[in-house]
Amino acid sequence: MLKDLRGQKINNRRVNMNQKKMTFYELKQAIHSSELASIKTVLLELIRLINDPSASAKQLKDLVEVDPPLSSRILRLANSAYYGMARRITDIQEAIIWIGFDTVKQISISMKALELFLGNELDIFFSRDKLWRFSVASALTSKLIYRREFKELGNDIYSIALLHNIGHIMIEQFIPDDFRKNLMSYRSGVKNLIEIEQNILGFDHAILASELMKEWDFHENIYLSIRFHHQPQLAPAHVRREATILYIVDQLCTRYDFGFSDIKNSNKFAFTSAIDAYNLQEIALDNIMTTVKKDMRKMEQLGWF
Amino acid sequence: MVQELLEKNNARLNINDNQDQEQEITILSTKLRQLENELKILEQENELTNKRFLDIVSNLEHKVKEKNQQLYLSQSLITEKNKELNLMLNNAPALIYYKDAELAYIQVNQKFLSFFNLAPSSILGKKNNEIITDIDLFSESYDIITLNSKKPSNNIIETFKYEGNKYYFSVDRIPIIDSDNTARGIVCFAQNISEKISFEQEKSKFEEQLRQNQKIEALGTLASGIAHDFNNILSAINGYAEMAAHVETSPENITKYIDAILKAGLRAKELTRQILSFSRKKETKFSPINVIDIIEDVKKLVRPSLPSSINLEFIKKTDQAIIFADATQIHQVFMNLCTNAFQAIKSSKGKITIIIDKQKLEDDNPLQLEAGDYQVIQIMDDGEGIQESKLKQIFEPYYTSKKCNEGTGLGLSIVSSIVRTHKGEITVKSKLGEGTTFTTYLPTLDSLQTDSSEKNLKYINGCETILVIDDEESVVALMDEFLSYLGYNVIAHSDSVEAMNIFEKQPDRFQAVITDMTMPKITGLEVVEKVRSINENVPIILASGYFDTMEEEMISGIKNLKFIKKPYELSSLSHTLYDMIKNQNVLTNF
Repeated sequence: MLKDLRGQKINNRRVNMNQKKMTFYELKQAIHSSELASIKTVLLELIRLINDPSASAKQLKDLVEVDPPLSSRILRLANSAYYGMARRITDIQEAIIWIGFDTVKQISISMKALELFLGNELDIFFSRDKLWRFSVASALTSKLIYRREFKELGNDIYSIALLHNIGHIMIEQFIPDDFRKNLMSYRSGVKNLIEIEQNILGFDHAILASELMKEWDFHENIYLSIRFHHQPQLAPAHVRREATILYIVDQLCTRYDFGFSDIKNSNKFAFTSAIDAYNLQEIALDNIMTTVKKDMRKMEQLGWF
Repeated sequence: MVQELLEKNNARLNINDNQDQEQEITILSTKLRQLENELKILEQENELTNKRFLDIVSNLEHKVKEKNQQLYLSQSLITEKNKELNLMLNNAPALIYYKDAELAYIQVNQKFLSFFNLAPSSILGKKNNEIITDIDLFSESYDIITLNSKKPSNNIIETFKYEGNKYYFSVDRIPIIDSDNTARGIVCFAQNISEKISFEQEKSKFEEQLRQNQKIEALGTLASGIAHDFNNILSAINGYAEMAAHVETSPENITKYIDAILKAGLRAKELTRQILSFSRKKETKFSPINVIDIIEDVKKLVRPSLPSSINLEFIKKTDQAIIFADATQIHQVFMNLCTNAFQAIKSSKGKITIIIDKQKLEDDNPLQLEAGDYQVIQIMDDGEGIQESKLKQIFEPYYTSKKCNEGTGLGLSIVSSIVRTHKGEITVKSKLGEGTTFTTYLPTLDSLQTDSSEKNLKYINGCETILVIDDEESVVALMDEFLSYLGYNVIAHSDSVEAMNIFEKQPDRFQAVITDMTMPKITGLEVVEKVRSINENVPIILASGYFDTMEEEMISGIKNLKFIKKPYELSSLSHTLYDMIKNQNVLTNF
């Protein structure tokens, strides 16, 4: 009955959602002309630079220097106690020389992505700050899995994980009422978020993010792995591993208290089959999470959050 | 039972221990595996970084090489350009120097160094007063003027005397102006024009010589006629004298004879004057003259040498025929044209007609003369005429129709050149068998100029103190007498050294100085220099029988100085002196 009741409710919402079917297009239009979209150019270019081994430090410097808020954030990090610079670093070139090209690349993309997460706290169950923390933890975790388990550099998965949650930001910013309803429903603990979003909105945060990123000319690997990060079994073969790792990392980070809400719903069976598919052992993942916790503490001290 | 329980418990503990140990080993091996993997990735990253670093280094090396190459190329380009510039500087037909704004030499060309006999080290970086030379360097004051005005100064004549030679330079100075309009330096080109100037002096001497030769030639042509005339006169004088001496007759008759002798003598005197006025070697002097008087003179001189069968007629269609000209040269023109006319009449019978008339020429006249009033003098003969093909050539030098030894062929070219110096023109028309007409156009002098008011007063009096210097005692005496007569206080000296001593002692005593040019010890020019160094305003009159162009040029820049040509007329001297003192007083009273 409850199910029916809820089903009825959902049906009611569906009527609204039928109207909102139109709104999905309108929502995309609204996002296209918002602050969020303005970030995409630099972000795209940073991702390209990070994945291009022949990219030069000068290209990175030229790209970052035309973005004053970004370069000031990078410099603030470079001058923090962690890197222990004897002298004050005053430009990107110096930062690249003193703390390394790869580190500056990672800081750059993170700090650019951070801009997506800046905004007012809206809900007691949700904060953008927490979502940002969750994204960084996901990025670190997935990168470590790639390095320690797959023996790969993991730069690609770092950017994907950093951005895989921006669908939440979009929904939260443009249709806040629905966002709150989704979360409340999620807290009741019966259904997963994707199902709730599908029911209430007619689409979910993964679809919204991947649709927009596709229109923003992000690489197919990026928007497809984001599109299927809650249903990795449905992902096309060439992005299935990325989607699966995002799924595993979401679960891990929530389990280790890096989640963006206090809800810890998880599907134990799905998780186990996911890690089995890539021959990952829980022990190995726990070991990685120990490193992630350490790194997150360090980053907290550095002022990332 | 207890034992059993203990054993059981122990066995469980062992199992637990074994399980814990296994767990521990799994964790450690996982950690080890992950560390190995991480190490491999780090190695990979390290390799990448190393490769990137190597790339950067080799790229830098390449860039350094490239830059070095560029530097080398531009250096050799500069060297090449420098060579070219030096080639141009050293082969330019001028002495060239380049100074900075402080007037220190930055660069000079080879010709400059060799003319002043200097080594580069003894001039570069130095100013004029720091350089020791036998010859003074080019004037620094003109450098300063050029720098300050920021405009080029061209064709300044600078002269040097060195080992008895006089050098003339035409000097062009060009300031070097920065983009912010400050003068950064000065480039100077000095061209040695000594040869050109001496060539021009030679040329004018030579032309003068030519004119003189032609006159003598003309006199030769006329000699028989003049001799005939003289014989007539001498016959008259001798005849009457004889009669007075030997024939007994009444005293009234003797008075008559002596009168006739006197008349003949006067005629002889007039004839001599006419010959002299033609042949006299005289400096060019332009003055207002009446062409009719000149032609009358010519007629008198030519007439006696013409056979009586040749008719010489002078038709005056105007009374006023004043032109501004050199009388001797105009005399020569008509003498020449008349003798030519006479020579053209080969038969014993003929007619020469001279016609003078006025004509007004408009702009764009076929003669290409300035518009205005002209005296037109036609000299016509009815001789054999000149072929049309030869007409064009007859004014060219050395063209002659005469046989060898009859003439130089310079006559008409000199005539043409004289007429042109007088801003006139000469044309010729001829028809074979009918005769030839030469038409001379000379500009009429503006009537206003001829009766200038100052001519009305012959002498002007004065009361100032004048210093007179002339090595000719007779001139000194004459000037003393004349100027004292006019009321001036005169100190006159034939010794220029002594005169200068007097001036140096009391420079303010004199209101004017009159000096001769050519004098032993101190020359007129040196007197001028000395006087000017003491008093830069006192009027100076420089008198000379002959001025060369350079001397004229040298004194032309000195103010309050006038030169008069010897022999001067006392009236014009008194006017010049009066005017100069008056002007000076006006100036000092300001």
